[in-house]
Amino acid sequence: MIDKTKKMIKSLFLVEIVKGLSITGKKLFKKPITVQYPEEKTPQSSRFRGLHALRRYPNGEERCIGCKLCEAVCPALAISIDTEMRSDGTRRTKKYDIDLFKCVYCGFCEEACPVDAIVETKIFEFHFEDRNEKVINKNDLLKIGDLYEREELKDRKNLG
Amino acid sequence: MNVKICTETFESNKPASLATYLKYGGYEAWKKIITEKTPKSSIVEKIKNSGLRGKGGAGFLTGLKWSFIPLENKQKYLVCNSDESEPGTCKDRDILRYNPHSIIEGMLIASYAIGASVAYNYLRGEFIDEQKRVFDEALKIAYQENLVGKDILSSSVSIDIYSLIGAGAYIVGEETAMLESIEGKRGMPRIKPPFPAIKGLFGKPTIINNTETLASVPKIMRNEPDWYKNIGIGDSEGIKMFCTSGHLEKPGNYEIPLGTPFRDLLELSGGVLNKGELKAVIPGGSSVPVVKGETMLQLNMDYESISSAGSMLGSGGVIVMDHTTCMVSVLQRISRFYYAESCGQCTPCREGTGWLYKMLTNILEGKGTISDLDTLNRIASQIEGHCICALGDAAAMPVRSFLKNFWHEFEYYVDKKQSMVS
Amino acid sequence: MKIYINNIEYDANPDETIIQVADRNNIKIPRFCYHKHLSVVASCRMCLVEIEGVKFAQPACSTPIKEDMRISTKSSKTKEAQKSTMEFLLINHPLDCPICDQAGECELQDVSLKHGDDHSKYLEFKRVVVDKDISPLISTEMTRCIHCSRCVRFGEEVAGNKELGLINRGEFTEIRAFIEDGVSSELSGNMIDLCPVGALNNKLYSYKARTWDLKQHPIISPHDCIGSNIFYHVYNNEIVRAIPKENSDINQTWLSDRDRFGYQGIYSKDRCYVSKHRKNKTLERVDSQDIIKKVNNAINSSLDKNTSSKIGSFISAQSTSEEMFLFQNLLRKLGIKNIDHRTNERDFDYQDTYPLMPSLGCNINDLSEYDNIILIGVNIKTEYPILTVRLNESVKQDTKIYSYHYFNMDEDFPVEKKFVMNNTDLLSLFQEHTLESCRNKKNLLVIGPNITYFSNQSVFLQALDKFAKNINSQIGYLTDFCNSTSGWILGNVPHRTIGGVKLDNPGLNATEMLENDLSTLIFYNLDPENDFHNSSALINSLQKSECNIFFTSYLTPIIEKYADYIVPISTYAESDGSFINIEGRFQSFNKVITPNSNVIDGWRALNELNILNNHQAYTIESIRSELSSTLSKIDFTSKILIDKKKYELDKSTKVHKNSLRHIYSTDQIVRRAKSLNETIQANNKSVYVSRDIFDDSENKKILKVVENNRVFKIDNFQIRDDLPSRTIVYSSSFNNKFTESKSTFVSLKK
Repeated sequence: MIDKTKKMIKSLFLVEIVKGLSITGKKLFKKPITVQYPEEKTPQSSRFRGLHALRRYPNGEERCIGCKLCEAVCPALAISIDTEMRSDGTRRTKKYDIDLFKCVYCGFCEEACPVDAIVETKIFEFHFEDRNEKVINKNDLLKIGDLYEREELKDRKNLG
Repeated sequence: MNVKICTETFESNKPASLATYLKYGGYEAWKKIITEKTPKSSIVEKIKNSGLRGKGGAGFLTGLKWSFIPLENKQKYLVCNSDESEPGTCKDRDILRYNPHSIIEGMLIASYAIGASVAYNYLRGEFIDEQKRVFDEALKIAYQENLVGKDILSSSVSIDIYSLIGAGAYIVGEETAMLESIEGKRGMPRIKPPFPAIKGLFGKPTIINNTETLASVPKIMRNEPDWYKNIGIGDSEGIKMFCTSGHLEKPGNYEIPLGTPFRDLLELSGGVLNKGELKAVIPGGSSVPVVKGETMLQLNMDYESISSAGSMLGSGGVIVMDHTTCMVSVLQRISRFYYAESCGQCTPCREGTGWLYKMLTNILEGKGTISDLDTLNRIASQIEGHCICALGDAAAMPVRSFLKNFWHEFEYYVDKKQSMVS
Repeated sequence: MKIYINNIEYDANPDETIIQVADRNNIKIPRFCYHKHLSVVASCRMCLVEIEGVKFAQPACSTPIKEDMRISTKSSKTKEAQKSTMEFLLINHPLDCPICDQAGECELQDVSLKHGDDHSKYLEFKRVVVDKDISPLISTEMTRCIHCSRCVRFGEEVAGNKELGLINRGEFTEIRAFIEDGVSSELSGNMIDLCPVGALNNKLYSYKARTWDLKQHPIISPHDCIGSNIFYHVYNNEIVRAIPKENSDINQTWLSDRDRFGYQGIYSKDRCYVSKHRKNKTLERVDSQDIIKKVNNAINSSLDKNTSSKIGSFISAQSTSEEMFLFQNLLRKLGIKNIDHRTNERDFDYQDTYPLMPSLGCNINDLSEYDNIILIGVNIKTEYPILTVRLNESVKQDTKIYSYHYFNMDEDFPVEKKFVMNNTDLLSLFQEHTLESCRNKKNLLVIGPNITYFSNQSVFLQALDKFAKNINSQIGYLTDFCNSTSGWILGNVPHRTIGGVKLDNPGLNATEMLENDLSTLIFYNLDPENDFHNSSALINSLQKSECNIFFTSYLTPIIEKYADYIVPISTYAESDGSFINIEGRFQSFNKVITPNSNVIDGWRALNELNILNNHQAYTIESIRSELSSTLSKIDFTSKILIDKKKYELDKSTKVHKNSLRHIYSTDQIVRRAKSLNETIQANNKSVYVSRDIFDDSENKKILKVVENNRVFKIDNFQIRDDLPSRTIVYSSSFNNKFTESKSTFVSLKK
C-alpha cells in the first residue's frame, strides 16, 4: 500500500526526469571532455608506439648495425633487411624495409634492438596515396629519425 | 749432527772443480756401480729405502718414481730439472755453481738405474751467464775423464749428458712443459695421464728429477742404507736446502736436517731484520699458502709439520716478512707474477690470473670494495683444481691464504684506501 | 667395461674417455677444444664433470674411464665448474654477437645460454687483439678467440701444414699465422667450421646474411673425382656459403677450399644468360623457347647434308650423369658416333685396352690399409686436397707413400721417396723398375691426371702396368674431372656405348675430331679456352666447321667468335644431377638455386631435343632408374686389360714441356671463382726451366722454343735445379700463347 503511494507520487511529480535532467544540466556548464580531433589531440604516453624511425648517433653515424634481430623477432614479418660490409669494414644494412600494413605496432623490434636504432615514434597520423608507399625504406626511416630525435630523447628521459 | 750433502763443497777454494769433488768422495759411488755392475733394481731399492723425496716442490718419493719406469729395454730418458724459477728459491743455482759434479754423478746414477742412455739437464734461461758455463765446464771435464759418454771407464755402459738452456718461462719448470720445450715446442704442460714415466720425452719413458734431488743421490749411494734416513730430526727423514729471504739479517741457502725447528733456521739466518717483529712466512716458495708469524715459530721444517699449518714445504724458499710489510701489495706482486707467467693454454688460469691481478691492482689503487674481496676468493676457488698443471693452483693458493690470514688488513685497505702498516 | 653416468649404466671400451662414451649415448657435455678428429688437449676446461671420489671436477675429454667409474654431468659440482669456466671464457670475449657472423650457430653462445651466468662481475679492461689479414678466404676477428686451438691442431694433424700457432703467453696469448698473410693450405676453410666462435670467419660470407635466414641444401662437389658431400646455404636464391656434409666414407667432416668456395664461379660476370644464334655473322638474341628447335634443325639439316660421321660432339666430364646419359642417347639415336669427353687428352691408342672406367680400385676409407701407396703423376696437395687428410691418416698407420712426377711437388704429408724425372726417363725407369721396399706387400699404384696429358699416354700406361706387376700392386686412377667415370661408363667415348659395351665401328676420338675437318661441332658444357688439349687446333677446326653449337654456362671469347648457336645451360647447382665418384659411388642431388629464367636446365635441353626427334622422353627419375640399373651390372674393380703390342721407346733428346695446373684452374667453375683466384696458389705465374736447357741456350735472357713450327720466346723464366733434365714447366696461370698446347715435346732454337 505504502509502496504504491510512493510510486504514484514519484511519477506524478516527474522525479526521475528531474533527476536525469539535473545531470544534463550540470554537464551543460562543465568543460566538455570531447576532443575535437584533428584540431585537438589526446595526450600520448611516452611509451606510445607509432610510426617507426631509425636513429643516429650524435656524430651522425647511423646506429643500425644490421644484426637482423628485429626482422627475426617481428611477429608480422613486416621487416626485411639486407646487409653488406660497408667500405670501412663495418656491418651495415643496404636495405631496411618495413611494410606498414603488415606491422602490428607491437614494439618488439624496438625491444630487440641492441643499439636502440629502430624505435617507434609517437607519430600515428600518416597516410599513403599509393599502395606501394606502405613499404618505407631505410632513407625514409632515417629521415623520420632525424626529425624526431629530440622528442625521442625527451620520451626516453621521461621513462627514466 | 752437521751433515752436508749438496752444499758440501761450497766452502772450498775451488768448489766447482773435479779435484774438490773427488776430495769429498766424488764419483766413488758411480765408479763402484759401473765396475761392480750393481743391479739396477738394487739402486732403485736403496733410494726408495733412504726416504729421499723430490726436492722441487711436490715431495714425491724419488725411488718410487724411478720404479714406475717400464723395465723393457727401450729408449728412455732422464731429465734434470734445473729450471729453478720459483720466487724465493735459489738453491739449485748454487748447486750448479758450486757443486756441478754432484749433479753429473747423480744424473749418471739415475740414468743407469732407470736404463736411460741419454740425460738432459734443462737450465733456467737466466742461468746462461754463470751456471750454464760452470756446469758445461764440469761436464767437459767429466767427459775427458770418461766418467760420462761412450763406454764409460771401459765398462760398456754409455750415457750421454746434454745441457740445455731455457728461454725464461716459469712454466717450463713444470715437468711436462719442460719436455715440450726440450722437444723444441712451445713450453706448455701436457695432460696427464699418460705420465712421463710411461710416455715422456719424444714419446719415450722419461724420469724428471729436481737438481737438488739428483745432487743428493751420490752421497746416499756412498753411505749405509739408513744413513740418509737418520739425518732427519724426530720422525723426519733426510735433509733439505732452505733458501731464506726477505726481512732477515743473513738471508741465504742453509742445508739443514728436516725437522729442524723454524726458530733455528731463523737464528741461522740472523734473525728478523733490525730485530723486527715476525709477521708472516711463506715457507716453500711463493706458490704455497702463507703462514702467520706466530704460528710459524711453533713449527718444524718438515713436510708434516708445515702441512699441519695448512701450508707446504714446497721448494724450500722461505720468505720472511716483518711487521712493516703491507700484505695487500705483497699479494698483488705475487699475483702479477702468475699473471705474467701463465702459459695461456687452459682457460681458468689464462683468464683467472689476469682477473686476480687486475682486481688486486684496483684495490691497491684505492678503487676496491668489500665485495671485491669475496670475488677474489671466489675466483681463486674457481681456478683451483681446474687447470692442467699446478700453476693455476699456485696462483690461487696465495690469494686464498692471504685473505684468510690477513682479512682484517685487506678490509682496512678497502675501507680506508690506505695500507694498515704505513 | 661398465661405467655409470648420472647413475645409469653404460658399456664402454677400456681405451675410451668419458666424453666418447657420453657422445655415443647422447649425453650432452659442453666442450670447445674437443673435436673427434683432433687430438685431445683438454685446454678449454668446459667439459669438467664430477667423478665420484675425485676432489675436483675432471675434464671429460681427457679422463680415461675406469671400471665402475661414477660420473655426474648434472651435479652441482659439475655445474659450478662449468659455470666458472664459462665466466672465465666470457670475461675477455667482446660479446659483439649482433655483428658477428657466427651468431646463431656459435658454440659459445649456445653453451653460455645453457651453462653460463646471466651477468658478469668482471669490470676491468677487456683484451683487444689486432687482426691480421691472413688469407683471401678467411676473415679474422681474433678478439673473439677463446684459444681452443682447434685451428692450430687442424693444421698440424689433419691438413699437415701448420700455419697457425699460439704466440705470447697468458692472457696475451694470440692465435696468429707464422707468416702474416700465411694461411695458404688448400684445406684452410675447415678452420672456419672448427672455430667454435666468430674468430675465424668465412670472408665471402661476411655480413651477407644471418644463420637463421639460410636454407640448407645438400649437393656433391663438382670439382674433383672424390665427390665430397657439401651443404650449400642459400639466402634469397643465392648461395652464400658452403659447409661440409658429414660423410665418414668420403670427406668425413672436412672440405677442401675448392669445394667450399668454388660456388663463386656460378656468379661469374661472363655467365651466359641469353640464347643466341648467328645470323649474317652477328650473334642475335633468340627466344629461349626457340633455341632448342633451331639447334635441332641445325643438327638435322647437317645430317641431311653430310653423313653422320661429319658431326663431332664433345661433352665435358664435369657434366652430370643425367646430362651424359641423355647426350650420348640423343646422338647415338641420331646415328652420330663421334662422341668424346676426353678433351684434354691427346693420345688415345690405349682406349681399347682401358678398363670400363677409371676407378680408384678401393674405397677411400680403405687407403690406410695399404702398406705402400705409389703416386704417379699426381699431386695430392693441389689436385685432390681432401685426400691429404686421408693420406695423413694412412701415414700415421704406417703406410708409406712414394711419388713419381716430372716436377718436385710439395705434399702436406710425409713422402717416403720422391722420384722427379722427365717423361722419357720415367718411361724407361718403369720398364725395369722394382721398388724393392714394396715387394710382397699390399700396394696401390695411383695413376694421376698428369699422365693423361702425355702425348705417349698409351706407352706410359703399359709401362705402369708392367711396373705394377713387378711389385704386385693394384692399379687405381684419379681423374681430372668430377665425373669422368660417368663419361666412360655412360658411353661418352667413341668406342664404347652405355655400360661400356664395345662398338664394332668406333667413332672419332677427341684428337681425330679436331684433325678431320668436320662440318658440325657440338660442345656441351665446355670451356674452349682451357678444357682442350690444344686450343689452337680447336680454333682451327672451329673455323673450318660450318656449324658450331655450344651448350654452355659461360660466354667465352672463342664461343662469342665462332658459335653459331649458343644454348645457355644451368650449372651443377642449378639443376638436378648426379656424379659418380672415383670409387664408383653414385651420388644424386637436387637443384639448389633457380637460375635466370632464360637459362635452360641442361638435361631438359637434351631431353627436349630427344622429344623433337620423336625419341623417348625422360624425367629425372626415369633417367636415374635407368642409370642405376646400368650401374648395378658394372664391376667397379675391373682391371686394366693388357695389350700385347710392343711400344718403341722414344730415345730422342727432345725437350719436355709440361703444364703445372694450379689448383684453382682445374675446371671452368673454379676458374671463375674470384676469391680462390686471389690466393697464393693461383698467383704463381712462372715458367721454370731446367739447368741443362739454360746451359744449352746461347741467349741467356730469352729462350726460343719451337712447337708445331711456331717459335715462342720466353723471357721471364726461372731456373730450377730440382727440375728433371730437358724440361720446361709452366704454371697454368702463366697466360701466354705458349700454354696453348698442354704437355708435349718441343725443341729449342739456338
